[in-house]
Amino acid sequence: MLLSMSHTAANEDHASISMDDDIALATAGNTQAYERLYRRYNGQIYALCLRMTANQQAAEDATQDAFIKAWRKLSSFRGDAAFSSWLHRIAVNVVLTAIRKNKRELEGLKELPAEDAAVTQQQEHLPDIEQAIAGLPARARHVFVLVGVYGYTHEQAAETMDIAVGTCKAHLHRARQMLATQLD
Amino acid sequence: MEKIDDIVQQAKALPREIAPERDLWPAIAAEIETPERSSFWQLRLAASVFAATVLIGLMLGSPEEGKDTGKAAATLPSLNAQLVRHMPFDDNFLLNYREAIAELDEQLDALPPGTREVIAGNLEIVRESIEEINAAIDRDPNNVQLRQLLQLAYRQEMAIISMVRDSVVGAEQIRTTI
Repeated sequence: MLLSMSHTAANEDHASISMDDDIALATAGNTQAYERLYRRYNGQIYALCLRMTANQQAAEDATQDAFIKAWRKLSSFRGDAAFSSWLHRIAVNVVLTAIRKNKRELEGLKELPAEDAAVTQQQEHLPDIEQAIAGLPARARHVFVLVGVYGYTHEQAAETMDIAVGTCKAHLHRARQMLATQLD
Repeated sequence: MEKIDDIVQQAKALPREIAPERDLWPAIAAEIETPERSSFWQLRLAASVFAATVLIGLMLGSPEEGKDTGKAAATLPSLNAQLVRHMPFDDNFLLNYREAIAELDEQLDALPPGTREVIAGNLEIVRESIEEINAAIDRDPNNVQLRQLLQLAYRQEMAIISMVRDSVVGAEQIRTTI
């Protein structure tokens, strides 16, 4: 598993520029500053997307879409929340929207057709718990990732996923039971 | 129950970052490096100039209407040194720019209060843009796109000022003829 963020000249050459500067510059249309923000956060966003989609290709697509969407919405970022949280919310919405649009494609590893087996390569190197999460049914996985991994409250997860709080709790309970069985 | 608690703990301890196996930036860059994003200030500037043009056109159509000889009700945004620190033109332009600014207050006084207020508002938009671009250049002095944008912003400001001057002179001539 690759845990460190990738580094390029875009962030190494501008070590003295603060993140706030980069946000301001990117908001003004500076793509170099935005690349530095991308280099800083792509690992976080990709991890989230990979866990939500359980599909490497879909996670890459969602990460790209999230950063493109964030770029277009930069002028609406007011700085009252952390930039990473703002990006995180955009990424979750991108994943859920993509899943709604194309359920079959993003249903998860177990339902991928045989010819797409290559996309599972990265998951094979993940710890057991990651693989077990990836094997959960989509809704249970989304709830477990948001609540169990990223610390959303049930209310936040339910609102994000457009489901009832009770349904969210039921999905989490189911996910935990399934993980316990799989990891036994 | 212990098993589930253990799973919950493991989930919370999962790493927050996983690097994608390929660099996703080129595809993102291809999407965002279009004129659409960088045109934010141009759009604001264009909008301000359009509004000023329409107003001055209307004003020229009825030079006497609403004329106010009292003190200016609208406050013109002040010119300061910060505004010209990255002036992308030569000294002649700066001289003309300062002269035009100096005359502007008097010319604005000759306009109806409503018109004056809108023009002051439009100038404020342009000057806010100039200040924002100057601040961005402070952080990224070699950014050619920002300097081009700054040039455009100054030209837009001069265009508004010129329209005000022409409209006041034109109105004077019309009144003299009548």
